Amino acid sequence: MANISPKTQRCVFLACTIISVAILLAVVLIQLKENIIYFYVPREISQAHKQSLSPLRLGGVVKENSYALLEGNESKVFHAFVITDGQCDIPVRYGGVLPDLFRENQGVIAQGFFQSNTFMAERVLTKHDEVYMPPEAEEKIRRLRRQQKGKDHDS
Amino acid sequence: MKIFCHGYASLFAWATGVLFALAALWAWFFSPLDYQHKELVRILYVHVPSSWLALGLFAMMGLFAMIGVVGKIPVAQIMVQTLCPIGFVFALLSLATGSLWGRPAWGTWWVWDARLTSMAFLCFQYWGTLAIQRGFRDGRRGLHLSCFFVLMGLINLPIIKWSVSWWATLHQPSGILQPQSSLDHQFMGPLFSMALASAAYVLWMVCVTLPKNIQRYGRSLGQEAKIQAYP
Repeated sequence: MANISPKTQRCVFLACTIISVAILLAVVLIQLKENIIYFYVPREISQAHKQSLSPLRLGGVVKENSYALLEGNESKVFHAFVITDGQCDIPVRYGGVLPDLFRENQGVIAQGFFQSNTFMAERVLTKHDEVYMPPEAEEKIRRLRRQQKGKDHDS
Repeated sequence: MKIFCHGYASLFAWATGVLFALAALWAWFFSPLDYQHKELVRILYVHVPSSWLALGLFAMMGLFAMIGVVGKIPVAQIMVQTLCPIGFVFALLSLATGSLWGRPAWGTWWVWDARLTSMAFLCFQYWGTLAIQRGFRDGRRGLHLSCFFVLMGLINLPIIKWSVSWWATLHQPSGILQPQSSLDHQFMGPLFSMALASAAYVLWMVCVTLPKNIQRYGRSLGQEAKIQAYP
């Protein structure tokens, strides 16, 4: 063991330190998962979440044909829509201003509380995907999808 | 080394100017809107290359730090010192442009999700490295310690990269540098020109500051010798 050059010793020391930091960090991050994730999707919402008093973040997609602008008490308008993840739906009510990119089939993250089974949102953010394309390309894709849906209906 | 750097410095300065002008014109006048972001998509041409460089430069600093610490080679440690402020600027630019984009697109200037938080931590790492380098009377000790600081923090790079796939985040997942890129080909030209322009800028800055840093190191060695000669 005495004939290891100082250079190799430094190398091994460095490698061991970096690997231990990595393992330690991995353990810490896995334990802190609940704090790191930014939102829950509807299927992850449990009864405990529904009864929790601390604010919760719910993320998903605005369900098609679910948006409505309703009038509440004192003639205040609020938005009502459904957040879905393909499996579970959760009705949401929001009294503030919706972001520009908000529309049906768009990703959203709502922050707020549950009131019985409705989510009362205090803040709504839109989450967009990583796809970027010019309007003509998007039109083309939408047309193709409509044609595909039409074919599926006929067959 | 000095002559080498001086010659290339002007070359890279020109390259940066030309590439940046090309990229800016292309991005502003000759690239399309996005179907959902509309004009706002043009921030992508600054935000994405800055993010790439912020991460890439830190990775390079890690490489040089490894060589500098294991091989005890001062020039490698000085390279870490040289790259640090450049990377710091790109990291801050990435956060600033991302924030400007987020306000209209998401509805907020900032959230503490995994991607943004780890990027903010990277900025802190850059700042910390700069602070350590300047915080010691014996510059060489500061240099050496800052290399260790960089190496301990290298683990943040994979965390930043995969934060969007490991955890639920507001920031969208990666898509641009995939085989089936999520970026339409019409956006690729300005994006990669901007990336090239930024890379040329890095090379220019390195050519300008590296000789100065080496000189400063040499001077501190000379001073050491003087202190030792006259105790």
